[in-house]
Amino acid sequence: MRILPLPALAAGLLYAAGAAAQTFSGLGPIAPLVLPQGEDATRGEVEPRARRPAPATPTLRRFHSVAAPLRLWGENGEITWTLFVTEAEARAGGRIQIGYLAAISVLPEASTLAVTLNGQALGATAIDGAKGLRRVSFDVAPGALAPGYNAVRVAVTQRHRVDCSVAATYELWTQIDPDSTGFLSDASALTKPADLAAAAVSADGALPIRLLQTGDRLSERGVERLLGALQDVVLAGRFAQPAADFGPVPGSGDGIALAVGSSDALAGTLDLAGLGPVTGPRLAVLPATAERRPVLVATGADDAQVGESLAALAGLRTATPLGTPTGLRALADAGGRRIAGGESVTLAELGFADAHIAARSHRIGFDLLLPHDVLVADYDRLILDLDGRYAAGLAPGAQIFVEINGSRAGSTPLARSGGESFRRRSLFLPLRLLRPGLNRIVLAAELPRDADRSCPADTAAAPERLALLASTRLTVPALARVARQPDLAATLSAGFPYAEASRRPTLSVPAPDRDTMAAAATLAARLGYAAGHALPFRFAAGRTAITGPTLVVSPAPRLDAPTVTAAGLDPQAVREAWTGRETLAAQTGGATAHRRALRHDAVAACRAAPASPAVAAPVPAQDGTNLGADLGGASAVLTQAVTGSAPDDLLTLVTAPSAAALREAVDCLVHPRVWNGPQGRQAVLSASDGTVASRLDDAPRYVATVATSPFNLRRIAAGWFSLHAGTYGLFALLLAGGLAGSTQLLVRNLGRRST
Amino acid sequence: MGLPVLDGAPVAPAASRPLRAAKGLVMGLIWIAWAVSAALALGFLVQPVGTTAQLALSGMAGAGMVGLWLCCPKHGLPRTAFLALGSLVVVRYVYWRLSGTLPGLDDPVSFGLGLVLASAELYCVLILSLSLIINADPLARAPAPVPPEAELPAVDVLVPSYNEGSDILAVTLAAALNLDYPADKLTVWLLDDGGTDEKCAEADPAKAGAARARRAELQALCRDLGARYLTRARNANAKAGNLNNGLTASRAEIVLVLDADHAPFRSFLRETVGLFAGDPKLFLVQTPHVFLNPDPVERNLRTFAHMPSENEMFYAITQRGLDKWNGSFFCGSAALLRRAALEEVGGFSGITITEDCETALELHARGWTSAFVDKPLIAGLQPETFAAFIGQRARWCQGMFQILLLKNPLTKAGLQPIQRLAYLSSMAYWFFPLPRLIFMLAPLLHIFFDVKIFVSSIDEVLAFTATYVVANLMIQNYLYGRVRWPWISELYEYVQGVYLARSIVAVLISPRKPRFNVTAKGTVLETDQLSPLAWPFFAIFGALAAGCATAAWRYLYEPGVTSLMLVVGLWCLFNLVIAGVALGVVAERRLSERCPSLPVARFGRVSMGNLDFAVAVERVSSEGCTLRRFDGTPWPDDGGDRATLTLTPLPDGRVFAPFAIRACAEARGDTGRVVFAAMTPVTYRALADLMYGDAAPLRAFLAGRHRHKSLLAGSLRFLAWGVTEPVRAFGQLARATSAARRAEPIADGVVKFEAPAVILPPAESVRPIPVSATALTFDAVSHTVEAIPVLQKPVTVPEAPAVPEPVAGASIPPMTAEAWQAVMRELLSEPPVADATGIVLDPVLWKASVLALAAAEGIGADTAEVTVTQDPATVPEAKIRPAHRNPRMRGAAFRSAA
Repeated sequence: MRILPLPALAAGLLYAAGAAAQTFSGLGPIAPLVLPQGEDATRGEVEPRARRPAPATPTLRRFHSVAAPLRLWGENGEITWTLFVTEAEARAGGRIQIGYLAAISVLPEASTLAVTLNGQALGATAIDGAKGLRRVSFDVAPGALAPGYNAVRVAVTQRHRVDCSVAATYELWTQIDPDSTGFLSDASALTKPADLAAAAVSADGALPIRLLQTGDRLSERGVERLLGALQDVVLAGRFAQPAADFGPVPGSGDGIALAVGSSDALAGTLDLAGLGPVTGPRLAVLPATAERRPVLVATGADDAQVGESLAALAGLRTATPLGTPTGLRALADAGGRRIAGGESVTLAELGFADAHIAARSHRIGFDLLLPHDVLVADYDRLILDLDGRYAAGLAPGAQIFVEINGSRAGSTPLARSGGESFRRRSLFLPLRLLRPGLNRIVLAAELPRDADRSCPADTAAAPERLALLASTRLTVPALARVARQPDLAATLSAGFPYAEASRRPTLSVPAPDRDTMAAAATLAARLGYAAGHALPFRFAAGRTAITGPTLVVSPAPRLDAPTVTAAGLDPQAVREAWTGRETLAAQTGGATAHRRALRHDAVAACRAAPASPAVAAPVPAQDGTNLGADLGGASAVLTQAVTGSAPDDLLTLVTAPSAAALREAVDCLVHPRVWNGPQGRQAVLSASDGTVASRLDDAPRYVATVATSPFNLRRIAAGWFSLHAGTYGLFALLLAGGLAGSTQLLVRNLGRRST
Repeated sequence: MGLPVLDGAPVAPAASRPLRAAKGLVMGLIWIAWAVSAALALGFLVQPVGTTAQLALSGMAGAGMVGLWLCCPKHGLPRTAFLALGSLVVVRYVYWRLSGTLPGLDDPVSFGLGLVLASAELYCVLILSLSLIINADPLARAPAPVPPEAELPAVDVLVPSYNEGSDILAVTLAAALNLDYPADKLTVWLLDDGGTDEKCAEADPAKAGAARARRAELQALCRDLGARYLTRARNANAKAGNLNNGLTASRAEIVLVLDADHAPFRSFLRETVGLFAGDPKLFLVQTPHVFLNPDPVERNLRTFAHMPSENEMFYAITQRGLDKWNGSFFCGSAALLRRAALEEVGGFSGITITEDCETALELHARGWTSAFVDKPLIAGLQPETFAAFIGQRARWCQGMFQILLLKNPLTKAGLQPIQRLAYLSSMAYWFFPLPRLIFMLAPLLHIFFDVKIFVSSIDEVLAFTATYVVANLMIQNYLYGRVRWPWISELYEYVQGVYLARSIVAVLISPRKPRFNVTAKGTVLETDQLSPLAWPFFAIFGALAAGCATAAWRYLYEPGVTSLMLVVGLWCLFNLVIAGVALGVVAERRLSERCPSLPVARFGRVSMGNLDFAVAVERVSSEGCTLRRFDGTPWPDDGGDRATLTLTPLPDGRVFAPFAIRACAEARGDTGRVVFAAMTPVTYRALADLMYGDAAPLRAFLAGRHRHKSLLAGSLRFLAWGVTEPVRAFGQLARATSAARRAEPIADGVVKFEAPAVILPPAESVRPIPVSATALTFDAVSHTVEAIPVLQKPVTVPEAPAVPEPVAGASIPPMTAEAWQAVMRELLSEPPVADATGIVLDPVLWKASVLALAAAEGIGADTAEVTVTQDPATVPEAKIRPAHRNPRMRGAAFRSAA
């Protein structure tokens, strides 16, 4: 193993305020796109996010971010979090606090916010949208929580103040504030590695993880070891939204710090007295203090013992999670119900009970996690078999409709004036609306009645309009399984192909300054989480040749032109688009910005300043192929390109106008609501609101991912032809020509001949 | 598969073994190429691609088809390519239909009904596939070689008869005797089953007397004409037995079988018999059947003059297609057969009631070959009334199913694979009533009961079903447009299907039971009247109309009804149009011409009183003819009672006796109709020559109908019928109902419907037939047949009418095919003189007719006949009469599943 001296790295870490530490690795001058870095080097040390008022006791442990939107629309809505509690917390109990902002049109007397813990009602409160951001607490009795994972569900019922039409229900919303929503317990303390999941997340739902740099040299090998440990931490704690950075001290605030090294090496940085004498491999948590967040220490007397400690850390992810059944199910479905195809799932299996709906509109949503290598095209269809009944008197226009990833996929009218009970009413939903990875399916009902034109005086005794039974079944057909490259969705949803590469994937950071390294580590951690195991990244600081599976993380000015070109971007266009963008800083926090974010249902982790008005306006995520990369308005670009003939010869480049912007963009990208957006060969991210515009590859490479089977091959072929309808037709003509010719030849030579 | 013998080009015996091996190798390679391309295409088409790709495929295939249609000849590679493109769309539809549209098993009712509909569609696709194989390259034969006079084989003409009148028989026999063939090599036999000993010894004295009189009359006729009369002791084995009796009595090498009302044109033998010399294994030369009179559909829709007849698709295309594969089969009449072949299988087969096809099947299985000459060489009659038409089709349908069940071609030893398919196609075709009724009624299930038997979204319906229907129509029109107008197949299927569905069930339940029913013929309808079989058509029409109205109402006013209802409603509307046109078929128009005429092109002079003028003979029937004066002067009003028509001698020197004629009152301008006042054997020969001397005018008339009817024009025409015909039918219904309400006795003008006679097989209880002492019995099938005693009965010749003054000096305009057609159209489009008071709808009559039909099919009748045994030695005395041998249309029609 080649150990490179990294004096500048050490200098940068030790003298973080020094503006001279422009390059993290100290590998000398970076040509030719070097741009002033401004305050880059300082940001790691004094993070705005970490600079919080001294926590009152007890501390709020916020819920982890979820993929579902935190805005509950319409008359009914709910959202579920998993909450990991330690044994002490479970014993002690505490409070669940919900912070929310509601629309002014919500009528408090008829609107409630109810909290359910592990399926048991915890309490409810009226929703009052007139009073701004509100916080409500619900006591959790000691013993009501089980050690491990619990499910917390917030459900709202909302009624309009003056308008009882279906359209008006879309004015009803309650926005959950992630910053002020969480669990409070006097007993909160992270004391052992098995409780990693109880680490406190920050206001935006991310889990900050400080990778402790010890000593004055950081070798590439050391970075690799830290990256491995980081991924194991993320996997063990199921942190879908990590925010890693490097630093010389653990720092204070939310999150944890991770220290890896022999006890001797760590001794200069940490006070290991709490561990006692280290004579063997040790994996332990140094509890938080007023100045320090909890530190997870993997150490030992020598490097071998450190390795053993790391192995123990890696083993944490395979430990059977504890928790209540409801909690464990919520945990399993947190990243979407895993669906491999050729199976059915009922609403009951997805955690929904029979719904007896008296409201004018109703929505339920759930996530399906499809394999990363699924080929989506119209070679089959999803079938939703609805079971239910509706009452007499629904007005024309009453319907149940389905959205897949935000697109209308199908609907069925509820049109009989006398009501109807239906069983297995089939809705055919186009398969092409799905995508590899996470898919959001929304079942919504609009149930107007003629009487809705005037609001009833008494809103309490609303009759049932629709019963949607939990036996309603969604059938996902057998899916074509083949990976397409380049496809960012496959990479982000499962780490493909880096997770399965025969060679070690390379994490290349041409300009390893602090922010870039933070972005790279965060990406690596999130990819490891997606893959389900730690990726054995080979870390390459400085410019290296692009071979094999490679992930390049770098601000654009520090990239060399060949890399940019290899990744499928035009260096000149990038330079022109981003000139002058290097110094744009993140939006400052503050109550106003926070309120604004809540008003717009923004992703808290995406707080970059809008680059231009064009980007400030939300750009819907596209699955089309013709969306150009609006680099000028982009916070960052993810791009992917095939670099060789091997299946893992794939280059993924994540770049942004500056190192700071890159870090912001990656922090935004790893939010569950953003992470599933990019697909195709190029995705443009707006880190101010988390929107992603993707560009699919016109002629992707197909890579086999499963054992060859004729059925799968057939589905792949059908999928390909469905995506290339014209080719299908032309092929058919060709085959018809061949058939006609051979038939004519045959017929001429058989039987009698005309004279 | 072995290669069939290449007709006319058998592999030379001298061909060396290596040459044969090389040919075999080449064929093997061709087969492999075909199999590979077919497998590739099939594998490609069963890809479950989405609707966009399906639309792309259909669009490109459709564009290719249109391009080939417009820019390329309709034969050879372009034709095959057209069909291949159409097949793409069909295969795609079938794949989608089977893989994606059947209801789920958790709804057994819908699933079962859906399966029924899918099976009906699959049947259509099966028939389509078979017809595409069989019609891959219909054979076009060169004219048959004409052997030198000395080498012509001897020919026996067998004319089996059961109850035809002597006038019909006289014309047929005379035409047979007139055949252009050496007289010493031509023997014409009348095989009379109406004058058998069994008949003559009937217990009913009246019947016995009639049979004896018939025998005497026909013996006299034969003697006078120069034909031979032959009858037998018992009516054993019906037509097959009768023919076998004739075979035994005769001895010529070649046998020409003619139905009693199928008169041959003079050139028949010259155009056919030469084929036997070229192929020693040839057992059959079949020619098309051409009819002088319209069938009920043609008559009641008035299409006879300009629309090709139903059977023309079968003869013009399917029999030629079969001929390519050595699979054309015997259609009971108008065919030459080789005696040696017949003797090898013991004569004509008689297990089933369609002995013709059965015989051909047996001979093909023994390696004999057949040929089809696609030239109209006979002209005959077909049933006039709808009831007779249905009775006839029921017999064909049951007979073909009998063969399918009793002598299944798929398992019959000796047949080549392609011949198996050919026969299978001809027999499986007769399942059509079931799918047709399913297609007619299936939409009502959804409209009335919301049964979902076809699970699909609307865009899939458009991408798959609509394109399939269009492709199907295009294939149909491309292949058959010249001989079949659009939607006519569906109409024929429907009008038959309503009654034939029951026949199918009957024969499937009891394959050996069906009996031969005699097709009513020579019926005269003096007024417009509803067919006695009309009521189910009104009922179905009513149900479909209610279905369409309900669908429209539901689509427009019932919330939540999707556009699927619109599609189903359109389907129902389409069915309603068919049902409406069918109402026009069962609303029968008056029929006054007992003896249908045919166009001729002959000239002559008429002497009428003191007139004498030159005329052109335009049309002629066995009763009379239509004449046109050449001088352009009006036809004389009163020609007197006595007149003569003297035909101009032909260029070959043939001179014919003058006809005594009597003028009718139907003169129009320079054209007048005359009837033959008295016919003698001599004038019958002249009449036969006049009618059947030259087939060219008839062929020109037929060719005039063979104009391609485009999809659009044909559909509009059909739609117009769908609007107008129900009006006419309901008008008749209203008049009939009001007449019935008046409770008047049946008016004189109404012709009583007579149930088809059923010839019962002789049961064991039949008393023994006393052996006649006379020599009339032809029990000894000896070769002394010339010594048939003949009952002497002088032919009475009525006194000739007065001959008017002849008018001299008339110019003679040429007689063209157009002229014939014009005359024909004029005749047929003449509005019938409807007598409102004479139209009645008598439910009792209907019931009687339906019961009679049921009895004819062997359902619910008090059956006394013996069970047919399988032992050929004890072949039952089946009940076959020589009937009109219409083409089967076996496998001819191409089904549309629309």
